[in-house]
Amino acid sequence: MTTSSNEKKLTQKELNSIFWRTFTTSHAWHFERQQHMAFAFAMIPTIKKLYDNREDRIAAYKRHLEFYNCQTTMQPLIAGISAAMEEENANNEEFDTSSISSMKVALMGPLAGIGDSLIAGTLRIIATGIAAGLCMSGSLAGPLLFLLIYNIPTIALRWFGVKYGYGLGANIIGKISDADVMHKLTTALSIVGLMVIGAMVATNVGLTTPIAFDINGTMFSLQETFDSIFPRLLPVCALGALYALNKKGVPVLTQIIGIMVIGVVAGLLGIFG
Amino acid sequence: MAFQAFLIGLIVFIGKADYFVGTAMLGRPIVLGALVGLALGDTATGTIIGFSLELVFMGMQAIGASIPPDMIVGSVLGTAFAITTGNGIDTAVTIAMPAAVLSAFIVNLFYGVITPIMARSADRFAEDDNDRGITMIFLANGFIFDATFAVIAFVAFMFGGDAVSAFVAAIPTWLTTGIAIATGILPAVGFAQLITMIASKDTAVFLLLGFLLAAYLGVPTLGIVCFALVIVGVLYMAHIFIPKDSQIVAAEVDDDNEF
Repeated sequence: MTTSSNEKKLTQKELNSIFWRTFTTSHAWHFERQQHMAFAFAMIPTIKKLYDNREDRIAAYKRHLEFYNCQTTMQPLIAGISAAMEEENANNEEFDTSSISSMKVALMGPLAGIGDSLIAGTLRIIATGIAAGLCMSGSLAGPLLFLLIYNIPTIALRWFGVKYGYGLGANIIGKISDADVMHKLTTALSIVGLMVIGAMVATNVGLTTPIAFDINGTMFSLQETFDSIFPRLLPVCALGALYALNKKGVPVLTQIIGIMVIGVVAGLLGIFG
Repeated sequence: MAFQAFLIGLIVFIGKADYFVGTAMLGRPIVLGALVGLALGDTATGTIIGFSLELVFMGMQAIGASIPPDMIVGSVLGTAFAITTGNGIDTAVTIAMPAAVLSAFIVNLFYGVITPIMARSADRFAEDDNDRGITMIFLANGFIFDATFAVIAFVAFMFGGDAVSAFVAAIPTWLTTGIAIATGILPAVGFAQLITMIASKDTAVFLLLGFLLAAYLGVPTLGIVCFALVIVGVLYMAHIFIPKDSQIVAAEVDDDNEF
């Protein structure tokens, strides 16, 4: 055991560099080990601060060059926890370094799921929806508003990720798997997200039919009938059909090509348009 | 022309390098379209087309390890050629889709072959306790990827203009009509993917609520968000956020049995 006089302790400087360096999560992404280089890059100042011994540094670099992949906003949290565990390892000879890798593997899956659905799937859509009006009027304020609504919360999440990740260290695994808090947050955000998606289906999916019948000299438009019974009926039907295809696992590219073909055929037959 | 082509390449570089600056959504069509508009002197058209392409590419987001069509190259070239040929969103989609699919092959070449091979050097630098080496290979690896697509976009815009004009002029009207119809439906692909990802049986009803508020009452998106927040508040007050699959329900059931 090392004595307290040469106990290794990370400072705000290393935590700040984790905060800044984790902005690069998906840079140099690849199929084999995905975000591994970005993770190692984020850990470099921490590793250099904690380990005086060359062999320890080499082991740490190799440890953080292992496979890693998670939603980008979640990396500060995982790197913060890693930093706390590396610190423990530097001061405690009994520490099993494989627990650092296990922690990363254990957290990246669930956190990626949360990040993908809440940030990529919900926050991004809300930002797009709110910016829609300004964008459609051709104003640059639209894209700017989109970027602000998306980035202010995610940058805050990154900051708190490093702070609490390091602060709570290994204990955070328990906090996160305490499903109740996470479930409430997920449900609340998915309600907001789904309502915005619903509204955007109504305003942004365009599908109408020009079909009209001549009944006793009076023109009878199918679209007007739809509109008076259930506005935006056809977009909802299209959405339902695509949702069913997704559930069956039909690839997106197939869906897109199918829509192109349907568009051409339906246009020629005068069904849609 | 060369300067504009340089700017188009630069915009693709910015879009690709978004991965270096926090995946801040700089690579989304909603942002890239506006930038292309700025570069080509028609900001309003660029922004409008960019937003329309955003709807088309709505559900396309790198989730996990799945590689979607390259919406960055697709939307930049689509918007650029739609502006230079004086055509609208249908042209943008007609160009963006094939460009995005073709570009995705090059993306896969990097992700599957070039980048992993280069990444081996990082392992060697680690063996040597050379952190500068790891940093250098990491930075170079990603920026070579970004720059490759910038060059592709530069060349495509510089020399592809006439070809694209001829191509656009040669498109028969039945195809333009068909693509216009498809463009209307395409956003539903993205929405359907998002719904598959975030909806559950319990929350699906809120999708309908959002739809109805917009379709019948014409409530704008910000209004929808406000309504949603009120509903979340009401559910919270009523203690309805009870996870069906967790121990909490089990605990309550146990409580009921005891009393």
